[in-house]
Amino acid sequence: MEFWLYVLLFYLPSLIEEAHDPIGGVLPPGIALEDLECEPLSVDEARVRAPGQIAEPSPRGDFIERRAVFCRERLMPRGARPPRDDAILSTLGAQATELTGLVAALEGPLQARTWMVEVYHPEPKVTAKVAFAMKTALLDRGLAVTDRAPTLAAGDVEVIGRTEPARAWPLACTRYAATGSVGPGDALMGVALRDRRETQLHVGVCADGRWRWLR
Amino acid sequence: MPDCSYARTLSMTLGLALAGCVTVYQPLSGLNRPVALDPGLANFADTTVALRCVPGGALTEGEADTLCRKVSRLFENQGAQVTIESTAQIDEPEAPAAETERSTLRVELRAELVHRDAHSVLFGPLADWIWGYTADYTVRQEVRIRGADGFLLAQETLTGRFVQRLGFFSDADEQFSRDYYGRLSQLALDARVRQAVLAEAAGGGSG
Repeated sequence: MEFWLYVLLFYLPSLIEEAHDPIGGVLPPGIALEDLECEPLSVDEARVRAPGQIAEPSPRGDFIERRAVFCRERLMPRGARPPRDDAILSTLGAQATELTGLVAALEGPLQARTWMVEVYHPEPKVTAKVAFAMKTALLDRGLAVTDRAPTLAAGDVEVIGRTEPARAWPLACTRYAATGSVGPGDALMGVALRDRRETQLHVGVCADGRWRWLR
Repeated sequence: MPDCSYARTLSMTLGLALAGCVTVYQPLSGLNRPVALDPGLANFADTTVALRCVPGGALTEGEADTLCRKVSRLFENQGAQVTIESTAQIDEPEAPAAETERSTLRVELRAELVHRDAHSVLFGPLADWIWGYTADYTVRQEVRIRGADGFLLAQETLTGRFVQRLGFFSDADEQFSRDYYGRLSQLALDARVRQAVLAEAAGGGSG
């Protein structure tokens, strides 16, 4: 009897770990495997990322080989929204930080201007969310931001709407300057999805009637 | 009335006899990100892909060749013109990009084994020799996509975990292939669009 008790005690830590394993554990986390974003980490890194989750090592050594996998649940389950929108919205915070970083790194008088944000995405709901995230990120970087949107005449919209994206943005920028929609004290951050099959956003800047892609 | 306990025992015995070692797959990072393109379409009709699978880490030379052949088929099926670069070319200087209609992507794949757990149901020094098997392993693949001039256009780490256990059915191969080839195609397409935008940016502002 004692022998089996020792065997049980020996394997208990492993059994507890196995019970919570997303694959085959008797107490799985109750989340579909594809909705978990996991990352194998060293034990030291895991103690920093998830304080209190991993026992501190005993001064005499704990004689257990530990490994850590840091998992977090996706905000929306896979398949809840179209893949392209899901890819953009699930990384929106990081993309906003990266794209506004490129804008904030521009040298010269642009830093003192008031920034407008215009977003092109086929889905209007996504467009609104992306625009809000970009404006917030610009504000976080200390730039002046306005909710004012640049406008074009109906004829301009018709012509530019039929132009390929590579030429549409420079053309629109020229018209914005000509109509005074983006004035000398303003600058426009344009964020666009260039291809309907891609899962990343591109950014360009319109100032003084000149358009420039940054990424 | 038939004896149900006899039938139940028989079905359980048959079930256990038919069970085998199956592999279960868990996408850890990168592999379960959304894919917006359809890999069944000609997404790379105007693209040349130079493919390089670097042996070392989790890949032997033979496995690297096999991986390159499979990935080259993936891009060829989507209309790309694919060349497989041998590992001997790794240290050679990059050739300047030729000004052609086709854009060029240089795809580099490296793999490493992050973790492997060998379980055995027996004890003692000869346990693994008598009945030992790898039950749990995690593999990480580093994907780097550059333009013809060597500029890094896209980079991602794809990590997956595979667990071998007793069971009846496994579709791990299909699931992993769907995730891996889909993600690889998506990365290449994103890289190609980024390359086009950067080329426009290098052309200077307009307007």
